[in-house]
Amino acid sequence: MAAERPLLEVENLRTYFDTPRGILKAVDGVSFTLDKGETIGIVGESGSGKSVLVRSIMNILTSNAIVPDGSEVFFDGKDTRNLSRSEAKHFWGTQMAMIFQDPMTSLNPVKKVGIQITESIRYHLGASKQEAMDRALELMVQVGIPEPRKRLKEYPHQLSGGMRQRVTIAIALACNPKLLIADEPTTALDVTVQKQILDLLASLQEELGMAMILITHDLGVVAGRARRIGVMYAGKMVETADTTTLFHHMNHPYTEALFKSIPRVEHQSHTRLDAISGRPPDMVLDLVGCRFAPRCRYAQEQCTTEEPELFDTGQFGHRQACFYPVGSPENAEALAANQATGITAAGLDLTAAAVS
Amino acid sequence: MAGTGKVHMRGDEALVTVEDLVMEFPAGRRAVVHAVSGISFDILEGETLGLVGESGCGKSTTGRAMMQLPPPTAGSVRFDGVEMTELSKEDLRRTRTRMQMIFQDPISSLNPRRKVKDIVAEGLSIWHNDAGEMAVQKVNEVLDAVGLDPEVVSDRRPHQFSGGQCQRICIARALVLDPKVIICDEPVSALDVSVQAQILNLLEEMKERYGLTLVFIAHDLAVVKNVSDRVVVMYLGKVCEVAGPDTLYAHPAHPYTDVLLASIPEPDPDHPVSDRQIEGELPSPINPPSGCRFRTRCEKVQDLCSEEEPELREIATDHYVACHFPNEVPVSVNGNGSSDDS
Ligand SMILES: Nc1ncnc2c1ncn2[C@@H]1O[C@H](COP(=O)(O)OP(=O)(O)OP(=O)(O)O)[C@@H](O)[C@H]1O
Ligand SMILES: Nc1ncnc2c1ncn2[C@@H]1O[C@H](COP(=O)(O)OP(=O)(O)OP(=O)(O)O)[C@@H](O)[C@H]1O
Ligand code: SF4
Ligand code: SF4
Ligand SMILES: [Mg+2]
Ligand SMILES: [Mg+2]
Repeated sequence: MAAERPLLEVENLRTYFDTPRGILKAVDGVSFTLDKGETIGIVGESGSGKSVLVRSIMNILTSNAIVPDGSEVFFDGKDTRNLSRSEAKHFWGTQMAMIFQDPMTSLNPVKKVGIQITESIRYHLGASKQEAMDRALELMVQVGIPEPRKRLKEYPHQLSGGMRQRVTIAIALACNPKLLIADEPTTALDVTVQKQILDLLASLQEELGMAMILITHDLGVVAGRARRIGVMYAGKMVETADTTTLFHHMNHPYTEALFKSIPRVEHQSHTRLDAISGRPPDMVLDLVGCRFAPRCRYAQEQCTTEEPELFDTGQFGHRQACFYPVGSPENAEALAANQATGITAAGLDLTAAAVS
Repeated sequence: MAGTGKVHMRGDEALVTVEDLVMEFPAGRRAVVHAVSGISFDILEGETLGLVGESGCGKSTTGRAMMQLPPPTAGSVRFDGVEMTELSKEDLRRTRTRMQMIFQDPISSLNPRRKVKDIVAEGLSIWHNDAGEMAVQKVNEVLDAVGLDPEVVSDRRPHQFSGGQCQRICIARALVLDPKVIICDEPVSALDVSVQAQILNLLEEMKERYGLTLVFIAHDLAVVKNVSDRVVVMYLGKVCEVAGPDTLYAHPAHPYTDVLLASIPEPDPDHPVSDRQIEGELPSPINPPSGCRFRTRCEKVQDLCSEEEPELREIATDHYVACHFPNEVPVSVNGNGSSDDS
């Protein structure tokens, strides 16, 4: 069976920013693909480059951004980097749409909700005022907003946080995009509202057959909602796998550390957490070796001089970028060696308490 | 009767006792925000009390009212035998040194123009007029305790630090006055997961080392469970349920606690996403529902729930719930409260 070409292909994508402190390499060589109707979850801590990655895919970067040659983004077989400004503008909305962490950043505070939804429909689909209004009403119902007619006449500040996020979802869905990018769509919301929104996204996705990139820093969110997961660290994708494989056979020490640092409701109270010591590197610097090395319990000499590349482990599309993957004999040896000296090759003191 | 009951109170043993606490804010045109409506709880010395609930349920208001910032509309806050609501301004300021508060946003709660050593010493110089040798020693001691090297950080200013480091500075600033109680209002909500674990571990260590009593306010149930010895679940200005963390999480009796727990996304792909979802939206605290405040969203609601407010009652050993039709729970559960086998 010939495999269909993926909906999205990202190849060696790099996005740098020209800043007063120097060139900041926010995304530094990320590759992944996404099939039609599929969901990929992208996790990583603050500053790891998740938002810049998807903004690069959407082609909505600020003017100080530099995208070096060789960075490729194919959507439905088309190279999005060659789109003209006006083509790009049409592209958002009809092909890809995005929702953000804070709905207020994408909603206009002084325009009524109805106007904001119909605007995008009229712009992209050339619908008449009445047609657009009918469609807006339909969308409001679809995203579960009670009393939709009344709500269409209200301003964003008159809605709760959860309702506002529903409105941004309605706007994003207005033109049936093939790909929905959700950048921390529930991070600012309460856990019960988060549940409502994630359930809504899942059912809409099923109904409309959209693909989705779900960005979050919460491994819990992606565990239940994504078919595949990509873990980012300091501008790099360090591990990708289907969700079950990732959780059961995590290879990368950063993935493992991230997982172990989360408090779990399933654990007894006062269970000591395995904190990750230190903090991510400054991405203005020229980074040599593995970017996680200063915080990694397994780091060896090789890690400080050579940069590990993402490679396919040959196990169900599981890819990872570590010389001493968790679960391997080399990893056990590396840890034993570090524990014997009490210090890793990158200078991490294994006997000291974790300090940021 | 408006009280939510006091069967869960432990009497004179407690270091802090909050009774019938009410906090109302004017909301224009004679409307009133019922932020906290008659809640009671107490805290034993050395205990960590977790206060959990969703945005707007009154957690911060409760924490601040304990500090008399501002004093509550009604109710009592007793701290070490002293009625805080009746203290003179001067006595209150003195008492507050022994009850400290740290906040959610570590960066904005630090004065950007001052050096770390001055920020931490602030309380000391106000209180003891001895910003000399003793103070320097004390500041260095607490900085060291929170994992910051005094030599390195003392002369720097807050903007040179990460969020996690700023929270360490805030904790040092609270510790320097040798408080008995620290009220932590969402101390890790603004931090990355990896840093969050560092701060949670640090708070546990500090509690041990300085014999602290903590109030830990958060909306993240997993975080609250991790640090608490006893948990109070709040909804719209009321207490729903009180129990030891392991009991509460294993056997939630209140329908709200139950759906709250079911909403947590588990970092485990084999754990199916719950098919339960809370109905509708949070009612306005200006016009809260009659009877049980959760009734507009409760799966188990009956006529009685709108007519009569449920009082807290004990449904199992040291497990209290304010609901007319609670979930059944085992009568006596082992592993109540804190686990001593750390
Ligand atoms: N327009 C910009 N100019 C300069 N630097 C930028 C710009 N946008 C982002 N950055 C930097 O790029 C890096 C990656 O940022 P990004 O917003 O992608 O992180 P993130 O993973 O989305 O983090 P968070 O979880 O906090 O949202 C950061 O160091 C950030 O400061
Ligand atoms: N100074 C004030 N004036 C008017 N209303 C207030 C004031 N402070 C708090 N409130 C209201 O009181 C209620 C409780 O607020 P509070 O900040 O205590 O909630 P919280 O549980 O801490 O929520 P969050 O999780 O969002 O911090 C909310 O409805 C809030 O809007
Ligand atoms: S073992 Fe080496 S390559 Fe692997 S994460 Fe640690 S430092 Fe990086
Ligand atoms: S008292 Fe009634 S409405 Fe309130 S939680 Fe219990 S069953 Fe639900
Ligand atoms: Mg982001
Ligand atoms: Mg609060």
